[in-house]
Amino acid sequence: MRSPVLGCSPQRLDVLAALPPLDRLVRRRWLPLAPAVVLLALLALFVTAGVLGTPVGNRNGLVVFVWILWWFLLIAVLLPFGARAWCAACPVPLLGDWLQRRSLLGVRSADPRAGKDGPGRLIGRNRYFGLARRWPRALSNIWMQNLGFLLLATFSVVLLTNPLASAVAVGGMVILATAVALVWRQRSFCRYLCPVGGFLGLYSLASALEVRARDRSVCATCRDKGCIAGNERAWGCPWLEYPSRLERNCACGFCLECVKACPHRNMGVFLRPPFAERRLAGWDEAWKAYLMLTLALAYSVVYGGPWGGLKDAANIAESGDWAAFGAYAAGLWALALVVVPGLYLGAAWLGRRMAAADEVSVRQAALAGAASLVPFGLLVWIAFSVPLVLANGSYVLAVASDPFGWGWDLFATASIPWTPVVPHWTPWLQAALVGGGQAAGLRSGWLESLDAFAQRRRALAGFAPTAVLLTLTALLFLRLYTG
Amino acid sequence: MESKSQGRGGFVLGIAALGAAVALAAAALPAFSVRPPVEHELRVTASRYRFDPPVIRVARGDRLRLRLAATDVVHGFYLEGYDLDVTVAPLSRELEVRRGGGPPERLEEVVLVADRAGKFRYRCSKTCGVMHPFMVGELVVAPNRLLRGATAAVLVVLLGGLLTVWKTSPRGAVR
Repeated sequence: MRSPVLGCSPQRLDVLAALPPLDRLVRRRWLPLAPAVVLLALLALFVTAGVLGTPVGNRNGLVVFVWILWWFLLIAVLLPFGARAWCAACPVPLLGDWLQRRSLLGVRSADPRAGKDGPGRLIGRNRYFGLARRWPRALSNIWMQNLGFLLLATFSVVLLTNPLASAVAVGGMVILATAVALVWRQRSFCRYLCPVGGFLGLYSLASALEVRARDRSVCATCRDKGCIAGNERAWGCPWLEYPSRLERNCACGFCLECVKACPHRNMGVFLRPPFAERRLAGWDEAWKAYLMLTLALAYSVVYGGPWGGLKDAANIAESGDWAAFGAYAAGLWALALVVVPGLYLGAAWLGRRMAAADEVSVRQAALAGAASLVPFGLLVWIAFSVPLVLANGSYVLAVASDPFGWGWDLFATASIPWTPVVPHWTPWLQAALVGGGQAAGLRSGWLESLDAFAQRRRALAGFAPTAVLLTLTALLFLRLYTG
Repeated sequence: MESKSQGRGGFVLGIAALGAAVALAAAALPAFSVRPPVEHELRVTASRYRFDPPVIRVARGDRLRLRLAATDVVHGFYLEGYDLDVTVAPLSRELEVRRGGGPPERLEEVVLVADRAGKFRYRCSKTCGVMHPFMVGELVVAPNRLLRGATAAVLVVLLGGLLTVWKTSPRGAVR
């Protein structure tokens, strides 16, 4: 009988075993390359539209396809049901991958026992080009991603509404990812720098999909180790993980190289209950949870709220009012870096005192509490995104026919008028998502607190202040969305 | 014997069911103060990217006489849930009003009976600038049963959860 795998949900379905055609499909080398190439072509088209097309955001392909369609699919569909599946087909690091590997479909492998001579650099049993340096240990965390996302979020109004600014940001990410790939090995950019990757990693914990070893005892006796070292069938894990020891979704980019590489067919894709994974690894991840919660709240106020003064303050490109923008940015940074983390840290500290648990560090208590913000944060982000697609989704159809806003009508949909789809359902959907997020968040935080405090009553005392704070946060969102 | 995961699942389901029941009960409660419908005469000004007033609060059954004006460019006033779409041009008192996808009418004011309770956003429906998709206002028609029910539900989930864990936890019990 196969032994269970630590860090995996006991209730899980082996998707590849259940669907043999899918198993055969994911072992092909052209997957996920083919969708990534298609997406790169689309990205190039939309970035061109951003530069050359109409400056009116809701008539420009880049703004409409990226910030309405892609964003909604990513946050509401791909992330909850497919973890970081987006990362597998993301076009941003594709050029860097190609420059590192000098191969699109093939795998460059060599036997290290035969010597390291030959072109490029041998890492494990794969050859790579470029400098292939190790990423600095001091930066091997998601602090840079936190900072990058906060910086982008500060200028979000400009990015979301100005096609040229969007084009510069998206094009800049492709250039940066490619440059990083020339210096540092494999997917260092995706893992440590990509601002989108940071929150995908955090919220992939809540996802219903995981890549894991089927049986760790097989891995323990495996001499090939192709999943990490690479072999003639596949590249070693581009995300610098040891796939057989994966216990968390955070740094798994779902490229499925490990599935292709494993000579024992021991790596699988598993369906599991949502919110099954809860543990945060460190302060960087906890801060990401605080940051994402803050931004969901701020965006719900600025974009979804009726307060024109706030929109003017955030809209620096049009208003040119640097004083108002400075106040807005300072407020946003204070909320994200001081107020919200301070409140949740304060709740964790208070809980630790109430539980009289000196042996539990503030860090342990805070990470357990912040675990509740993973399901809650994901669901309030989906709630924020609901009106984007219900109210403004029809722009996608119109812009598909005319991505540059030049008067084309490629699919005879250009003249479809703005048509909101059941927009009055928005508060109901948002209320359900906030309520569901609060319940799932309380459950995650409680189970993590139980692990941290070990005894039920102490865990209850330790988690109670965070539970109350989370509920107050949920009430604030409810007030915004439905009140 | 019931497994730990089944026990946790049952606990979560029980609390969620209790929350849902209380939410429904709270939402179904009649409004505390019922007054006869009144008529509101409101001037709503649209300018990039705001409506003034940003929030309109009325009670169900109230009659609204809306005079709309635009101060800079052409704006729209699309009211969710009421299928009302008005085009407002600057320097013009005449409005182009569409209801339920019907033909446009030219009017100087829009008369509306707030017969649906809850929160409804009004949005600009004519592209007016870069932040056009985010130009919104809110019509809140009391009684707001959704807010009341959802508030009750999250409070019940919190209190029910804490109380149940407390009651089922012997002092000092491990896990």
